[in-house]
Amino acid sequence: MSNSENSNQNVANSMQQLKQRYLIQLSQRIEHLEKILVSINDNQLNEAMSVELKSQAHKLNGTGATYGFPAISSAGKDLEECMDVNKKNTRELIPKINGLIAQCEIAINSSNIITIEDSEKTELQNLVLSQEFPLLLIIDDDEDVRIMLAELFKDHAKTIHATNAQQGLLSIRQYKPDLILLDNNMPGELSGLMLLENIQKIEEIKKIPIIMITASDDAQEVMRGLMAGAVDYITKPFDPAILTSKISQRLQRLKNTILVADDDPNIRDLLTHKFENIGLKIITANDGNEAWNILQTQSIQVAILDRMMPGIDGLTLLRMIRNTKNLSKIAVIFLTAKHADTDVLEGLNTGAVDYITKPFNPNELLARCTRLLENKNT
Amino acid sequence: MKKLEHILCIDDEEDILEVAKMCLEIAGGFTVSTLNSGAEALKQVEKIKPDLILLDVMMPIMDGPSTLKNLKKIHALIATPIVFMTARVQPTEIQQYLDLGANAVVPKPFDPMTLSPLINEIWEKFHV
Repeated sequence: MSNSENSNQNVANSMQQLKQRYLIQLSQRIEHLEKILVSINDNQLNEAMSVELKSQAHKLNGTGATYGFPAISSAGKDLEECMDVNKKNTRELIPKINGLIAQCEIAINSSNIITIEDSEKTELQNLVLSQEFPLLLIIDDDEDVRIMLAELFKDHAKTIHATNAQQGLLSIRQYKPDLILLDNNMPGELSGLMLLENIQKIEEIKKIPIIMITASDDAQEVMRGLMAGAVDYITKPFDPAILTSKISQRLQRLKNTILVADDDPNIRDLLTHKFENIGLKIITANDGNEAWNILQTQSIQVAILDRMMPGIDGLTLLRMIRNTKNLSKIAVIFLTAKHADTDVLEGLNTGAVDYITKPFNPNELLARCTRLLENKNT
Repeated sequence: MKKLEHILCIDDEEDILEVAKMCLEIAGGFTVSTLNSGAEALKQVEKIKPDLILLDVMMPIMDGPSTLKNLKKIHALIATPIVFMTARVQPTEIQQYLDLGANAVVPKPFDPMTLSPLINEIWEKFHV
């Protein structure tokens, strides 16, 4: 091989590595574009967003073809030019932004990082839609570990695998798993920790709980993992019994969704934080009407209701739940400032399984709720 | 003619800096320094002492043309060609860049395989 062929080969190899990182950043760019799209649809595109949109279009125009995706450059250029001539009618931008997002997604999906076969994808998509089991993503380069973990949790979750961080990120974006088990030291550009840090920057996936499973028990690394958002950190070699118990409990919890309906945003935020921390799925509503819509469209196991909130009040909502055939098994806990004995009795007699008065201890509510779920699940 | 050895790339886009540095170093054998703003370039350029500067046109705060104008005031850079890198390459736009004092324009997106020969060509033309 000549020197020039050699250096071309080296450039091509290095390009492959840079391309992986570019693809990961594309995910973040898509997210920016989608947010701007929502603002345009709501007629809320402000000057700063407009500047941001133009900058994104310009950057994608300037980089796409360099990284081997000329269609991204063309779509970026189209959008940039459309913004030049269309300063007022922002709705004209929508198809251009959608075109650019589509090209970015095509680039991500066409990259050879995903190794899941099409037949598996269909099966997987059906599975994700069925929501029968939580979806567990195992990201580890060691096949033995992947197989062992999948075997350990086969009764609690459906598992998908990724053999490196890049593949893992694409699977996370595509399948939005309920729980991720992540190794740190893996081949490729990204370590598990770097992947974890990247995930925290992507709004749509940053709430997915991640447990690091790694051979290192270096205190600083553990700290970095937890600081970056890992919900737990388990070191190899692990005791399968302890691991199974920890993760099965989490997977079990993931089968349950809790609704918190309260017009006080502080309570909604506090409970979201508390419940998500222990791996429970939570949906919030800020009034009774919104709560009723959620109850009819989502699978809810426990509803924590304020009694006095705008729209349908908590007690009426409980009656509606009890009188609706497919909702009647939902466990309802009142969380309310109405604390007179008659209020408590009225709540319990209407069918609430528990009645907690404000001010309340969030840890006590958490404990009551998890015990309720454990009883329901057994 | 002096040999082109050291290139300074100025771009706010990390994706561009990474790929330009990689291909200029590997394929061209150049030493490449990178900076991500015009202001940073003005602070550091005399210390870096590049043979050639690759400068992005659209950058926040201080754009390419303003950076170019300020770089041109630095006496030590009198013999340093400054090349604009830009996705805006309509003939009228290219003429504007040259009128501002740029020595050449590299269109974006560039091909990583051909960036080094293109820069060598620009360097040779500059010294004719």
